[in-house]
Amino acid sequence: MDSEIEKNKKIFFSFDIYSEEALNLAAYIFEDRIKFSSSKKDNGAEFVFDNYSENDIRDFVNEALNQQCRIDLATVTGPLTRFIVTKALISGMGEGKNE
Amino acid sequence: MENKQQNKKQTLLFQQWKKNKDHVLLTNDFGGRIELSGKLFNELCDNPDNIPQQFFDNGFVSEMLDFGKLGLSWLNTHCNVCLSPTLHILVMTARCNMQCLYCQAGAPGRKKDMSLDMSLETAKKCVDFAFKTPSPVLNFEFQGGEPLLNWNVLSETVKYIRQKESESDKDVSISLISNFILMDEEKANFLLQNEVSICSSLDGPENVHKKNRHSENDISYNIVCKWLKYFNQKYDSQLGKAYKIFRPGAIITVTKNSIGHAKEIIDEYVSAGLESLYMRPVSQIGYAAVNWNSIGISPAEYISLYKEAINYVLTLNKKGVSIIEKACQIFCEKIFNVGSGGNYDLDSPCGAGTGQIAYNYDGNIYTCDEARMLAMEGDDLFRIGNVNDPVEKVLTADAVRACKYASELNSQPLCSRCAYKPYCGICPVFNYATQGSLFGNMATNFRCAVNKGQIDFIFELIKDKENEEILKKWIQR
Amino acid sequence: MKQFDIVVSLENYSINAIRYAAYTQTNYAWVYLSFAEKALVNVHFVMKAGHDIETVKSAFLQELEDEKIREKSRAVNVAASIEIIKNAFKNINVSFLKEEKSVLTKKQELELDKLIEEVEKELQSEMELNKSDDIKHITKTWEETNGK
Repeated sequence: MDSEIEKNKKIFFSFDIYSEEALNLAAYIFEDRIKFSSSKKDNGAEFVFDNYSENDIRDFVNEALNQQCRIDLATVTGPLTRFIVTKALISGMGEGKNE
Repeated sequence: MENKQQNKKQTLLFQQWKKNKDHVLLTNDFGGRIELSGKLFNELCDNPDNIPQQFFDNGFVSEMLDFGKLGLSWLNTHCNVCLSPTLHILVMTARCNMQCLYCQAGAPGRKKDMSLDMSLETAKKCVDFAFKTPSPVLNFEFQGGEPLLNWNVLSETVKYIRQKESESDKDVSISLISNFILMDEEKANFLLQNEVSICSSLDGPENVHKKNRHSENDISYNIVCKWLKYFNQKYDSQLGKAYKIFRPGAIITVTKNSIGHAKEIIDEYVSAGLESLYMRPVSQIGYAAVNWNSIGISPAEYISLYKEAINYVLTLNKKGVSIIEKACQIFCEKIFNVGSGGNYDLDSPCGAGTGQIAYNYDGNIYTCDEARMLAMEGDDLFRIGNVNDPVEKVLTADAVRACKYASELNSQPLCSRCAYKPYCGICPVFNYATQGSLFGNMATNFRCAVNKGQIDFIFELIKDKENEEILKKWIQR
Repeated sequence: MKQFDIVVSLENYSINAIRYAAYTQTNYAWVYLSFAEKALVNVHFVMKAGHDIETVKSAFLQELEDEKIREKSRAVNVAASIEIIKNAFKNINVSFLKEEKSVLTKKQELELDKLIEEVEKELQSEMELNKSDDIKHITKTWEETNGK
C-alpha cells in the first residue's frame, strides 16, 4: 500500500475484500478531506488521489475497512437492530405499551 | 457444577468478552456477567460439553434460556427504549454573557443580538408541543447561551408550564442551567417558589475555573460560589415551606487546565456543599474545537485524572463525606443491573428524539442538545421539525430514525463484541461532528476510549469489597 | 514508518473474520487488505507513531481466533436476543415512569424527607463515635447488618 501511495498516490481495492458500498460510504465521509477519482477495473476499484497527505489517504483506507465491517455485521445482526429501533420509535410515539 | 443436559448439544452464546492478563470478563445484554479464568474460557470454547450451571443461569447457553427473567434484566438497563420524550430542553437564548473556552453552544461573542432570544409566543408553543407528546413525565430544562438573559420570557414560561401542569395529569419538573451572573434575590425566590431545580458549572478552584470560563472582570467563580451557597442554605432550611426546594447541582468540564487538580476540584465541590459532580471531558465541538490546542485533553489524560478523582471521592466517602461522581453512578447502575442510569448518551439506542428533544430559540426542534449546538455552527442535519409541526411528524423524522440506527450497538463492529456493551452507548451527533459520520469509527473514537477507560477502572474498583459497597450505595440514592 | 505484513489463509478464517481482526488494530496502525494469491489475504500494517509492532501483531492474531469463536454462535445469539427482547416488550408497564401518588400532603412530605435526613445524620455520627464499642453491632441498622 505505502509504496503505491507514496509514488503514485493511488490504491487498488478488491471488491472481494472491500465492497463497492463500503468504498462509497468511505468516499462520502472523506469528500471534504481528500480529492480523488476512481475507476472500476479487475473486479475492484482504483482510487487516484490528488495531492493530499499520505496520512489522509491511509485514514481513508481505514475508514473503508470500518464501513466494510459494519456491512458484514449488519447481514447477521440487522434484524435485531431493526427490531429494537422499530420498538424504540413506536414507544417514542407512545404506542406499543402493554402488548 | 454439571451440565444438566449432557446429551443435548449446547450452543454457547459467547459474543462479548474482554481478555485481561489471566482471566476473561464475559457479558451479555441480559444482566449476565461472569469472570472466568482464561483456561476455563478456552476449554469451554473448545469443548462445550461440561458447562457450569452459572452459564445456564446467566443466559450464556442457548438451551434453557429463561426468557422472562432475561427480558426483565434487559429492560432494567434499556428502559429508555420504552419511553417517549421526557426531557424537553428549551434554549431561551443563544446569547451569553461569558466566553467559556469549551462552549459548544456557539454562544461566545453573541451577547447583544436580541434576535437570538426565544419569544414568549415560541416558548409557549414549545410547552404546548411538549404537553402533546405521549410521555406521562415531562422534565423541562432551560438552557442557553445564558437563559437569565431572557428572564422575562423564562419566568412567564415557568408560570405557563405550571398552569399547563395543573390542567393535565402529567408529572412535571423544571430545571435551569445558568452561570448565575444575572441571578438576584427576586429571580431566586421566583425559581424556588416554582420548584425549579438549579444547576451551574463549577470547574474547580478559582484558578482552574477562571482559565476555562472567562467572564467580565473574572467574576464567574465568586458568583457561582455565592449562589450555590445561597441555594444550599435555602435547601437546608426548607422545612415548613409550601414548595419543594432541590439541592443545587453543578457540572465540571474537564480540560487541559484541570490536569493536576483532581483533589482540589473534589474539595471545591465538597466545600460548596454539593453532593455530586459530573466530570465530563471537553468535547471537540463548537468553540472547543477552535480552542483545542489550549484546552484539549486526550482520553488517556482524562482517565488518569478521573481515576485520581474517584479514588479521592471514595476516600472521602470512607471518612463520612457525602459526595458522588455521576458518570460512575450511571455506569454502576448498569453494571449492577438496577437501572439504565438516566443518561440518554449511554443508552443503546441513544435517546435522541425519543428520550429528549431540544427546542432552539427560533422554535426549531432538534434530536438532542448536542444537535441544536451543531445547528449554531451552521449544520442543520439533526433538525427534526418546528413547534408548528404535528408531534407525530417530528417524533418520526428522518434524523430520529438515523440516530437510532447509528446508536444501536448491535450494529457497531467493535461495540457488538465488547464486554462493556451492556453498560455503554454512543452519540451519533458527536460521531458526526468529530468523525464525519453518524456511525462514527469506534476504533479511534474519543468517547469510546473514555467510556472504556472509565468502565475498566470501575471493574478494578469493585474487586475491593468495601469499594463495591460504597458504589452500590451511590446507586441507591 | 514501520510496516509489516501477515498473510492469512481463507481456508482457516473467513474473510469477515480477517476484516474484523484487521479493523480492531486501526487505532494503532493503518491497515490495508489485498490478495496475495487466490485464497490468501495479505494484511499490510503501517504502524502509527507510539505503538508497538509485536503488540499489534499478537492482538491481530488473537482477534482472528476470537472471531472464529463468535462466528459459531452469532446467528443463534441474534435469534435468542430477539426472542428475549420481544418478551421484554410484552411486559412493559408504563406505571414505572410515574411515582405513586402519596397520601401525605406536600408539606407533610417535605417534613418527612427532612426528618429522615436528620435521623440518618444522627445515626451516622453516633456510629462514628461508638465504632470501637460496637462489638455486637447494636448500633448498626438491620439493613447494614443484613447487607441490603
